[in-house]
Amino acid sequence: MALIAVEVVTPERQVWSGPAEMVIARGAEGELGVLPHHAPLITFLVDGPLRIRRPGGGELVIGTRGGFLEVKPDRLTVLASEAELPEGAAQEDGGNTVAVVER
Amino acid sequence: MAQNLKDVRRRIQSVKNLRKITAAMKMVAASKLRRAQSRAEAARPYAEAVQGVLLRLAANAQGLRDPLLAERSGDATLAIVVASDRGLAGAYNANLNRAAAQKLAGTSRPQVVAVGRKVRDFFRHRGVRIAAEFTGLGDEIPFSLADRIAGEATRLFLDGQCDRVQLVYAQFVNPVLSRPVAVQLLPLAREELGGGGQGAARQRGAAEGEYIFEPDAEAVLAKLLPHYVSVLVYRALLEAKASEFGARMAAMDNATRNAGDLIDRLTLQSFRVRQAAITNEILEIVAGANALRG
Repeated sequence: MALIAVEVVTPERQVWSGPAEMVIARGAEGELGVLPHHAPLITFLVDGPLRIRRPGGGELVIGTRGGFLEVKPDRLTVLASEAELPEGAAQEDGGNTVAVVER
Repeated sequence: MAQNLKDVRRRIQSVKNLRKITAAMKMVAASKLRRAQSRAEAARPYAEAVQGVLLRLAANAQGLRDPLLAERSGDATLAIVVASDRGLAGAYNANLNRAAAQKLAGTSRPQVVAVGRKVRDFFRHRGVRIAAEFTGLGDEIPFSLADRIAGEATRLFLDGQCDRVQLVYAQFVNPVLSRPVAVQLLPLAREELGGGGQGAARQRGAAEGEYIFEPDAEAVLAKLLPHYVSVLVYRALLEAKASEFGARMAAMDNATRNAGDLIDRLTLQSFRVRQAAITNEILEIVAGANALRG
């Protein structure tokens, strides 16, 4: 199945990035599911969970506050004012799992 | 040279203690500077992404209008002045306040949003109206602070309390050099939206295909612009912090060196005083011996 590259950024740091099969967000017009090859789209987000369906099953839920969603056919960017990863979740890049290093 | 040896030695000791403090402050500033720089670095991807969205928005929609973009004829100016809560940073605060005062000079109804205690005190003393103040900032600037500052300035702008908003802060050039700059925050410059028309950015945006906007371009713009203002303020705050630590590091380096020079001078003086005392004693002994012999 095709994948879409997902990036979640806040003003303070990059929160998460990695590939996904599908992303479900709360947009201006209600819930919105984005699959790979989606048409380019820009909308703003409502506070709530951002659900990222990972390749090979499993779902990552990131809590976001405020912000915007930009979709390109191969890439999805979430620009949130704040974003909270669930406890123990790893920050990913290009499929290689890297533990989030606490400063 | 009339001082006695004990006084000079005490003085040397006190300057040595002072030098320890300034040397420590210099090192603290240096490590805080590194942290501030990496924070400024970390903020860049987001700022660029927001700007990218804005550009694509401008490229895909014709004739965008928003109150935050509207030029006004009046010249009532509000300056957001970003400096520091604390001194001991050389001329850092003074330079910024001076630059801001210059920017406000000659405008009608000048007002200031003071970020940092030193800014508030300076403009309060000068009798400039302080529309809002943000003090007690700490070393790490959260985005929510930038959001609050930007929100306050935007509110004053939309209320018609001012016709334009300037952002005055110290641009970070390198650790020993920062430059006070004033940039117009509101109304937002149209160039940032892809030259308002035929810019390269617009073409680049158009090349990426038509975007869908939900609910529509105007609504997204109305949400995005205030956010973009916050991002600009946030970037300025982070740069100002890095500049502040750079200035403090340079000032403390200077102070440490000056203390060293002073210690050298005082040490020399202590030798002289000691020598003079010995010479005096010898003279007395010789005089006494001569008197006995005579």
